[in-house]
Amino acid sequence: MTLLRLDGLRADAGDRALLEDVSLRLGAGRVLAVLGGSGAGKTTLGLAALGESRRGVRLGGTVRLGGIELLGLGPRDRRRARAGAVGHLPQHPGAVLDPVRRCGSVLVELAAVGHRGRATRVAAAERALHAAGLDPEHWHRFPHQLSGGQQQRMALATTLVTAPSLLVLDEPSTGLDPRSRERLAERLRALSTAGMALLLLTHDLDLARATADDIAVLEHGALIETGPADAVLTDPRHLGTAALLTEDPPLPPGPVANTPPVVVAAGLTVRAGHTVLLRPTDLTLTEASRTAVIGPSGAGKTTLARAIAGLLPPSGGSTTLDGLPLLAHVRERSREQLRAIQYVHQDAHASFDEFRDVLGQVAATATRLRGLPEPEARAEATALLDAFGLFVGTRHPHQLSGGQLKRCALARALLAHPRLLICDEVTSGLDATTRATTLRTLDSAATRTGVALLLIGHDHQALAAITDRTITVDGGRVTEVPDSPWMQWKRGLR
Amino acid sequence: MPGYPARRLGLSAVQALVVLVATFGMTALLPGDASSVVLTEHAAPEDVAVVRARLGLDQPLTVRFGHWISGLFTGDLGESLVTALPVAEEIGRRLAATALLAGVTLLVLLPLALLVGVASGLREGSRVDRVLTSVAVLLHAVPEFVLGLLLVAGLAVHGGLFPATAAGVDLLARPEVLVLPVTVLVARQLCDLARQIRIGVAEHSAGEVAGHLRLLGLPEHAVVLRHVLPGASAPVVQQLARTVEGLLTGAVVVESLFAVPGLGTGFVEAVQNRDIPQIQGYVLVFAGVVVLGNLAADLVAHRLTPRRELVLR
Repeated sequence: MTLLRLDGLRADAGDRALLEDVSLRLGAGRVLAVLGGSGAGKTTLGLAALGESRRGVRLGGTVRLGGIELLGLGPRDRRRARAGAVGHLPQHPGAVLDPVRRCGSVLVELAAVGHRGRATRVAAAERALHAAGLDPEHWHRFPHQLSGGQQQRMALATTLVTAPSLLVLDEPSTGLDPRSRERLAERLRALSTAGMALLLLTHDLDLARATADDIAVLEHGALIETGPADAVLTDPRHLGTAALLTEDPPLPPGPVANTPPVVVAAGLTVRAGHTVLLRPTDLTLTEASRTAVIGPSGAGKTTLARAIAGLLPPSGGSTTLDGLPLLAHVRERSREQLRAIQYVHQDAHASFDEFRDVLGQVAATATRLRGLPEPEARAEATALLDAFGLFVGTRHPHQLSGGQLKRCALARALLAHPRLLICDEVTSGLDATTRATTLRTLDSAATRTGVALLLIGHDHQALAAITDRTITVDGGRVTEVPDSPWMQWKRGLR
Repeated sequence: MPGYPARRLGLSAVQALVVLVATFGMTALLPGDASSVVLTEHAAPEDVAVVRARLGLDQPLTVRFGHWISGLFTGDLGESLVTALPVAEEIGRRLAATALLAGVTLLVLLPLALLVGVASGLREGSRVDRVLTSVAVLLHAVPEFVLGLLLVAGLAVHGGLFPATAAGVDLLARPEVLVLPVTVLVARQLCDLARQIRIGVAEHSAGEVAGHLRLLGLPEHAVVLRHVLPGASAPVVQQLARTVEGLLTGAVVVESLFAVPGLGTGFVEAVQNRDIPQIQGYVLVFAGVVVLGNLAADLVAHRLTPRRELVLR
């Protein structure tokens, strides 16, 4: 029996197509994995399967859920048609749990969708908690008292308690460690065995392999291949699918020695009064190199970065860009030099003007530093944000999450086409999922453009995933870490 | 480290102490003392000395402060210099009138502010929102005495619908005298409270939690009542403490305007008469309401934001 049937589904944001002519069928007890890279339209598709879309997105075509055409219904009827028929697990599950309510009571409340009587609801809520892999002790917790993985399972419980026959899961495995991923896959298989249809939107091939009956591959909003999971995974017919299946992105190249230097600091020193914030430092950053700067807080990491960027005038030493000397202060540098070295501030929120739209602020680097006309700059900014999996529209900073703003800040810096990109604490304050997304974004952008990266942070593990060189700063002294155990381990894998 | 409630209570205790010292200190520092109120300024020095001795004003400041404080704990605020009646009795009587006025105002204000705030918050930027917000701001912008006089002129004198004054009337026996004063107070206070609710509702209604619950088919009334409003409630409760303060200051104007025998009119009279024990009593009551109101609001708001324990601990 076909539960979900999409025909000629399309989604447009303004004059930009997010989905084009997507047709899919999904029957009871089946698992359909929709694979696709970031920005392929997976999230839009997942919402569209519920007849919903983000603000500013128009849907076309038909979405039939259990025989009911959702797109033709008004919001109220659509919600009624959906209740108890379909559940949705969003990409950031922690964000959908009500912070001021204990989890159990919310589950009981949601159990009212499809269950009558208080006792029945409580029983249904307890079953959902168990089915999601949580313990009874989590019943009385507030969401912030749960770990990230538990929050994800609690969000799963909120959908399961409505006893849906179809469950849409948006990137359910992001931010989970390998063991949790395995257990998630087991849980999903159990649900499908029990007769639930699953629409799995993911880029996680292992999860798809472990759970999917059928696979559809989405690229730039269009389906490029559909078929049984085995066939698609072992014998892809479309080039795009093949590229997607080429396992995880290649590990970053080893320390880059052969590329030409971009920025060279010699004897760079910063003093505040008699206090030495940064001892004389020599540092060469070559093209496409990726350097992690780690060290305890207050050790001088940010000082080093700000001195190179010209935000903090050094008291000694010199910096060159492509062999030409850089003036100490950012105000004295030429537009070309400003463009070449971009700095992403630690607090993305503070680095945006809250009263102007984000897109315009992102595009501003292209107009100011590269002299692009406004419309072209905006178009380029939109395209770049799109590649980052962000649709910003006319939104202002407060309408975006911290992780989204961080990626916007990255986009703003990259739009200058810099030679060196300095990111201060690019991962701090982000949850595991957002951190992974942000680093992935940065990784692919750097691979594409060959920009040199200087990443400051204290989360060495996270940074090491995308860097090939580590320097430590302690007490203002910069030391090269020749070859960290992590790097050795990573090489051993090759 | 003690929990937030204990620390907040401690803060209130300090505030209360500061209020006591400041109230006594400032009235003691005023030029001239009670003797010049009881007598005239041209009284003979020996008469002044007698009166000062009778009132205990010849004793050192610290001793007088000690007497005053110990009196407070037994509910003795001293006697009025004008009527010679106990201050506590007078204030108690007037407190009842003001509490009635403020209580009725809150009973009207809260549902109205919720209605306006939720209606405009759920439709942020719509015509409904703009109209409601404009009206609320407009009402807020009109000073109490202007609105009061307009209402008296329009509805009482011209329309004859409601009494224009509560002078010499038992408030409970003829509740219609409260209509105009309550209207003025509500009109003035509606804006801040409704706008606080509106912004919270708008934010939480557009948030991911509400979106998720709507996707799962939870009915809209449940989403709004059980998730949007609770999420928005903490700042609203704190705003409510501001509202109570606003009602007290509003009472001074409104009670004078409508001749309600409450704390506001009593305070004005006491100041006019330079009746220092009375002034001290009123200041204590006003300050006490502010301190206790904010304490209650902060404790409730703390309960309403479970996540805050991570920040404040």
